[in-house]
Amino acid sequence: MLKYKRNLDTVDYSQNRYTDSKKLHTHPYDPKLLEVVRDDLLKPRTCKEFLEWVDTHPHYDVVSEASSQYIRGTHKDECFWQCAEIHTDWSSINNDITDYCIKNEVDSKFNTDYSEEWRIYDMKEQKSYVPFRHNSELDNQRKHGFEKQYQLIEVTLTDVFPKLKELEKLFDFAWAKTDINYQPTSGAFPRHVDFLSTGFKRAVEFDTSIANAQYNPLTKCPEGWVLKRILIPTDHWYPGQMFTFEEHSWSNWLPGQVIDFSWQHSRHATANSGYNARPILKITGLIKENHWLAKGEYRKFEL
Amino acid sequence: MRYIKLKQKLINEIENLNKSDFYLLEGKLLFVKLEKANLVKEYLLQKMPSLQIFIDKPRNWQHWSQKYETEMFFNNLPKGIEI
Amino acid sequence: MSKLQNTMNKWNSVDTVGDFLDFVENPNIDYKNWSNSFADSSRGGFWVGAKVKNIPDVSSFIDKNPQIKSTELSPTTMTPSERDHHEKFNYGNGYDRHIPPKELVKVADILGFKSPSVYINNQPPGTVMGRHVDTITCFLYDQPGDFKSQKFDRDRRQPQGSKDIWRCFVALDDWHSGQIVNFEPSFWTQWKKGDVLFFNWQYTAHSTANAGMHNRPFLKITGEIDNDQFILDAKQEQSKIKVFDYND
Repeated sequence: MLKYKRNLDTVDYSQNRYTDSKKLHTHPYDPKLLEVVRDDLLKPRTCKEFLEWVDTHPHYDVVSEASSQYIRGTHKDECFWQCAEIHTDWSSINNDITDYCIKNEVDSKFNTDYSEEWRIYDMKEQKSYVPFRHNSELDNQRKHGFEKQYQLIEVTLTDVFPKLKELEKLFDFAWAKTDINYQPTSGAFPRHVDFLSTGFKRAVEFDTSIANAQYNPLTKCPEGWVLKRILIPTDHWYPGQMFTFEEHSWSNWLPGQVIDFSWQHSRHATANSGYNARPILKITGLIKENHWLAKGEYRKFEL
Repeated sequence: MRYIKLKQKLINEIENLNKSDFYLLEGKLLFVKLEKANLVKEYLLQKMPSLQIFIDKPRNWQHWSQKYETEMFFNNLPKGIEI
Repeated sequence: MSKLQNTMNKWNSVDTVGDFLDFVENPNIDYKNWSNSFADSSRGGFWVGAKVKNIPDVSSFIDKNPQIKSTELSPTTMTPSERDHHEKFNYGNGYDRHIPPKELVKVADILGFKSPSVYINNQPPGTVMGRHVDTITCFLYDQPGDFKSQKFDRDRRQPQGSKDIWRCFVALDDWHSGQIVNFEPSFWTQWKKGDVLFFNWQYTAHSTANAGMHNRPFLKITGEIDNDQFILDAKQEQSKIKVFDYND
């Protein structure tokens, strides 16, 4: 299959059927309008069609909000849960991350602005630590004051962190994509749900069977697959580091505690109100329904 | 418990409850009319008597296309709950 | 001698309220580590101490320009050493401070505060308040008369012989997803407008962040309360929370 290049500057305004686009983006969103957007989201599409629809949608932030089906009061264990533990030399891994951040001024050059989408292809070196955002999503975030969010350090597409690439292999994800989600002090990332499109796009770009598979908008996965994102702290928790999933909070973590979570529906947010940067590994990829993670099993790893 | 499944179930099982009677916002159910919220509350408590259901008057915002009389939310839903 | 040891020596010499204020304003002290030394999760924590029904809508008040912006490093709310520390770690004031109108000062009267310090703390979306332990200097500065010559109680960190000084936060809007309030070791979440949080300010390290999309306005009240039994009762038993009505 030939790779196709999506024109990310193309916005499909024919999708802008909603009557008043000024009010559309005002929080809290109009519940009736969210339902209209949700009905659009639920239309049958292939994975390729879905990603194109989301990429070119002029109101990504509203689509994202509409895609959450979370009901307040849901049990904490259905928002996030520990699915594995990894025992390794985390101290040495953290030192590597800290050295990298000092050398590349990751803490001091901290501003989350618009960036090119460059993470589909191999990287020779990473010059920017700004995570890619859909324009409409970043517009909404910056409009609401979120200018320092977190920094994203590439792992999979470079050779800077070989130990972390080894760690990625433990989970046996297809189309695995690992980054270090590094939040300097004072950063805040607003509450959101995910589509995991950055990693998913690689699969769609290069694998026709995934591109042509039906997209399930309720599970937000391709039919026949489960799209997973897991989080692994590389350092222990420090007071002031915040990670919330709706009304629930995750804290007191230890390095190597692997967390699975409801990225599809549970609005999650982070902030660092402490005095230590907060590095968390983020591994995203596809698994089949017979994978141990999909079956809800727990694993221990030694690396 | 997920919204779309819950909504489908409620509309199918409760007479006089329609799709346009309630919506989801930030985890809470917003009802256009209080009487419909009461129908849903009654039904849910019949199915699960120990369910903690809260009903309150919501804040209606100027930019919304219609007003709502009631918001409903839950607390401590048991893990894996489905109606 | 380390900066902290030097700081602790100076602290141990504080005798009056005036000495205390001079101490915290000294740019050469290690303010952060000194104040953090009081954090004690076994004595810290928060509880909902009361509820106030029918508080008026505050949107028009917080839409105005604040007295102090959340992004500022203000000499009014921070000591010099505290400001240096905040700047180093990329923090600002952490909230917009507004002078409250008399309609909101009334809430402090309703709760029984005498001569309190009252401010609106609104945390706009995207704002983070760095973790800290309180020193209630804004209350001490707000007191009339010759407060500075009074003896200072270093154990309670307030003027000697005074009744307990309470600090509370009154929620001026319901909780919205993404608003994070951590009074260690727990998180306050799902509050309703009118809920009043009390906490052991002397020992409770706390921090807040607004990772939501709505303003997060609180009314911060500091002062003595003649009849504070209702606060202690609610701490013991949450079913005994006293409900006040703004319209009474």
